[in-house]
Amino acid sequence: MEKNSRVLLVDDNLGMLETLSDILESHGLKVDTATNGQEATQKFQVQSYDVAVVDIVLPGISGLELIRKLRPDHPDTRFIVITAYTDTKLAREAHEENVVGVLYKPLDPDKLVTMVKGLVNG
Amino acid sequence: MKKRTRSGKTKAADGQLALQLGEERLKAERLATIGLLASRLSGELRQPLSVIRNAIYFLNIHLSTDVDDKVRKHLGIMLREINGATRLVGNLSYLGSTRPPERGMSDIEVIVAAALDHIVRPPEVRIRLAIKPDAMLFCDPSQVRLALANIISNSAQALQSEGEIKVICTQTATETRIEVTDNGPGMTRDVLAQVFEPLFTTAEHRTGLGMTIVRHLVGANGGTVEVKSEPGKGTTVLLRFARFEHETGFPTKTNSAHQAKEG
Ligand SMILES: Nc1ncnc2c1ncn2[C@@H]1O[C@H](COP(=O)(O)OP(=O)(O)O)[C@@H](O)[C@H]1O
Ligand SMILES: [Mg+2]
Repeated sequence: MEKNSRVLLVDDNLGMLETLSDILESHGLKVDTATNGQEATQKFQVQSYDVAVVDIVLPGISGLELIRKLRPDHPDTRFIVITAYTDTKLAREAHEENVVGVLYKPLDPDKLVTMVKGLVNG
Repeated sequence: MKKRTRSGKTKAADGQLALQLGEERLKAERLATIGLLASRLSGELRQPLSVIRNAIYFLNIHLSTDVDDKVRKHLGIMLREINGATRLVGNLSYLGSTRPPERGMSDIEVIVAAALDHIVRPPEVRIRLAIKPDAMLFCDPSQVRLALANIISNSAQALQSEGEIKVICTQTATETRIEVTDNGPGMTRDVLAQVFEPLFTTAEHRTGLGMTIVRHLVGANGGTVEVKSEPGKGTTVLLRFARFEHETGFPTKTNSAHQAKEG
C-alpha cells in the first residue's frame, strides 16, 4: 500500500467516525473525520484525500451535494457513499453519481476496508 | 310512510357501504402509517447496529491469539444477534417502501435459494424443492425473495422441530405459481381470517408484520397471495403471478427449451 494514503470520513454519527477511523488506521491508513459538509470542505482545503467515505444524510448540505461540490477541485479523490436509508430518493441518486460504491448501514466493515485498500493500491 | 321506509332502507344500505368504504380507507391509512413508522425506525436502527458491528470487527482484529476462546465466542454471539436484528430491520424497511419494484426476468430457483439462505430454521426441518427448471419470473428478485423468506420462516417457526416444508413452482402459458406448504399445526379459521392484518400475531416475540409485508411485496410485483390452512393438517401459501406476453413471447431460456421439447 502507498505510504500515508489519506482517507476522510464524513458522517454525523460520532460512533461511526470513532469505529471506522480506528479500523482504517489499524490497516495503516491515515484518517481524518468531519461531521458535516462544511467541515469536510475545510479539511479538503488544507489537503486532498485519496478516498472520501461520505454518509448521504448530513446536517446542512447532503453527502451527494458535497461530492458534487468537491469533485471539480479534487479529480483524484475517489468517493464511497454510505447510508442508513435504503429506500430514499437520495439513495437511488447515489447510484447514478460516479462513486466507487454505495454501502448500506449496517455495513460490512471488511467490505469497506477491502474497497478502500483496493483504491489506494490501484 | 311508504316513501320513508324505502328511502330509509336505501339509506341503511348506503350507510353500510359507506361504513365499509370508511373501514377500508382506515385500514389503508393505518397500514401506510405503520409502514412509514417501520421504515423510519429501521433507518434509525441501522445507525447503532452499524456502529456495534464496526466495534465487534475492531475487537476481533485486535484480540491477541492467546485470548480465551470464550471471549471469541461471545464476540461471535454479538455478531450473530446483530445480524438477526439487521434482518428484522431489512424486513421493516420494505413495509414503508414506495420504491417501484425493479423488475426483470429473474430465475426462480435462484430466488428460492437466496430466500432459504436468509432464514433461520431448525436442522430437523426438511426442505423439499420442486421447481420447474429454468422457470423465470418477471419481478424484482430481492422483493420476491423477501416475501418467500417471510413465508418460509413462518412455516419453519410453525413446525418448531420435526416437519417438512415444500416449495413448488409450476408454470403454465399464462401463470406462474409458487407454493409453500408445511405440515405444521395449521391455523384456526379465526387466525386465518386475520393472517394479513398488520400487527396480528399469535407469537409472543414476533412483529405480526410478516404476511402484511408478503402481500405488499407480492402485490407490488403484480401477484396475489392465497393462504389455505387447516388445524392439524398444515398450511399452504400460494403466490400467483400472471405471465405477460413479453414473458412468454421472449426467446428466454425457458421458452427456447420448451419450443425445442415441444417440437
Ligand atoms: N405456516 C404457518 N403455520 C401456522 N401459522 C401461521 C403460518 N404462517 C402464519 N401463521 C400465523 O399467522 C400469524 C401472522 O404471521 P406474520 O404476519 O408472518 O407475523 P408473525 O410471523 O410475526 O407472527 C402468525 O403469528 C401465525 O399465527
Ligand atoms: Mg412471520
